[in-house]
Amino acid sequence: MSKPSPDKQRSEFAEIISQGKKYLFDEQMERARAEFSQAQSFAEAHFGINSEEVDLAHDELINLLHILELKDDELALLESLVAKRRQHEPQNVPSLVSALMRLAKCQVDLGQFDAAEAHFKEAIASCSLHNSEHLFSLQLSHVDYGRCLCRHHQAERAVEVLEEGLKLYARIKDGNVMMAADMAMYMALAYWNLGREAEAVELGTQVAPLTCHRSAGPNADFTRMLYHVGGYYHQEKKYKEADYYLQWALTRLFQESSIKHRNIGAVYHLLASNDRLFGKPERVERHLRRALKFLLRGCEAHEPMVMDTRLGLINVLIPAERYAEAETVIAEAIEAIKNLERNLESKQNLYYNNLGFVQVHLEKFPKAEASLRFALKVAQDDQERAYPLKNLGLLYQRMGYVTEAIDYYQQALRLFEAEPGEPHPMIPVIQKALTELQNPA
Amino acid sequence: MATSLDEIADLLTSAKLHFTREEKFIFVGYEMDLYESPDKTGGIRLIIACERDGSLVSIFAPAAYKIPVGSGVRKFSLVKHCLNQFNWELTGAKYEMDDADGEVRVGLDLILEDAKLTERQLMRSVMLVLTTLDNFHLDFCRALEDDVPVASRAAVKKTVGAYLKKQFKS
Repeated sequence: MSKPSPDKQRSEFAEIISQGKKYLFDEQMERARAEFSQAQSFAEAHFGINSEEVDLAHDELINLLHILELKDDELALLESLVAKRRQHEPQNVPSLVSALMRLAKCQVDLGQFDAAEAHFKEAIASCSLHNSEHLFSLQLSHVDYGRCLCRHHQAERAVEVLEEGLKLYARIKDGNVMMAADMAMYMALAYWNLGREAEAVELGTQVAPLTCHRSAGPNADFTRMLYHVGGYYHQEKKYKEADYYLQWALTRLFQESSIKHRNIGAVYHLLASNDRLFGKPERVERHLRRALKFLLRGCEAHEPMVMDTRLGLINVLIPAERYAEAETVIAEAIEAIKNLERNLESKQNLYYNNLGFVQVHLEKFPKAEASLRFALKVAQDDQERAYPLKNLGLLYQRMGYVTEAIDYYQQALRLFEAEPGEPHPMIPVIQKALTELQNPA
Repeated sequence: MATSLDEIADLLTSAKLHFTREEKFIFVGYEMDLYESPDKTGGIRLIIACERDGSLVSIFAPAAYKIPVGSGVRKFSLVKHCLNQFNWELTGAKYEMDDADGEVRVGLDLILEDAKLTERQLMRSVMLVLTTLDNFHLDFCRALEDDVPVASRAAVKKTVGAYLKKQFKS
């Protein structure tokens, strides 16, 4: 029997690969794996261990294992791929570097950081600055190594590696701008993690128009940088800039394939704080409600950011005299902290006092009295006692019990007057109420 | 006839969307994530209309933005450049501006001819208009309110590339 021609063998190999891809597309992963493994054995037998066909089968198999998150199998295959390339084609640097980078990234995913680092370093050392064919691999190695260091809280070393990569970009002709911009963005993140915030913002804002361009795919790290920049400008009282970067961060967060509820909630939360100071009060409530909606999907109901958002909402609703809506939000807040062990009293004092206040306005007097008396019971100091006392004065005033109202107002007044510093803004409010009660028209 | 408003109403009901049926079109209201209407609310009303005997379905957000009349040639030209760039980047949906009153619409036309409209097709189209509004809102506002022209990715690439070269030369 005659041996099949190479063309026929190639076509048979292509057929196996194509069948594997078809199974992959149909999400029949085990069958896909079997086909790619068969392709690998076939290629080794017919084209030799160093053939392009073996590489192709290897690549398909590694991609599949990556999708299936079979990290140990992926690692074993990558290790054999690297060993093979080191031994048989050390002169083909781009191919070796590509295998080394994949191996390093897989090791990072498996928590083998030291081993990964050695491979990143080997990838960089394999490239020559004087060989134009190596430059792409050299830049790529710097990006991946820098990103890895950045993500593993090795900010100082990340800055060193990324700076080296950026200097390389500046030196060579026709360097890859996208990779350089990615390096700069990771460098900005590393600066941020080192507390060098001004430098981070300076660099981040310069490259974000490219790395976070509306036509570029989202990158969670870069979106985080936009959020940091927004927060930085908010702190610096540059509210317009803060608004822009926070909205930009939101736009990118919504573009990510998996919705990160907690992060979206956090950005809306900060945006609402910024709106208040930026003179956009009409947006505050909308952004707080959205923050709450997303935070409740991504966090526990009693977490500080959730409680803070609720408090912000209460502080919008009460001045707007939307007491029924405020009562609902306060009741939810009380429900959320019901089973908390720490700092319970202070929080209960705050929310029950607010609840009592809105119930007075809703003329739910018995409920208001119970809420305010509970707030008084759990008060830790005079400051916490002052508000429920004032609100009890208000309650009895509304109910027409003048003596009781005067008594509670006076108790509250004494506590507010005893507070150090500037006269408390509640003092004139109470004094006015007392004058009305003591001198009825 | 490929489709009709009755059929679209049935598809929207099946997709559990709230809508209002008028004689010649359907209104669908949405709470948006990022887009803000000219009256500064976070909602949008889409119109779904059948045209040419149901062989074409139009889905659009009327008056998604309004360029104030008397804004001047420069502003109009800036906005037009911006919409042109967006349309270049977009697939499916498109921005349109009426020069006469400065109304900017975002929408798409589904050419059905004799094909049947499916729920998936309709929902995909509605979602495309909505995500377009959200994704491009920030850049459009920057152009409209702060006169910052939108730049293509290629243009930004050039600027950023030059900045990084200069910054890390030493």
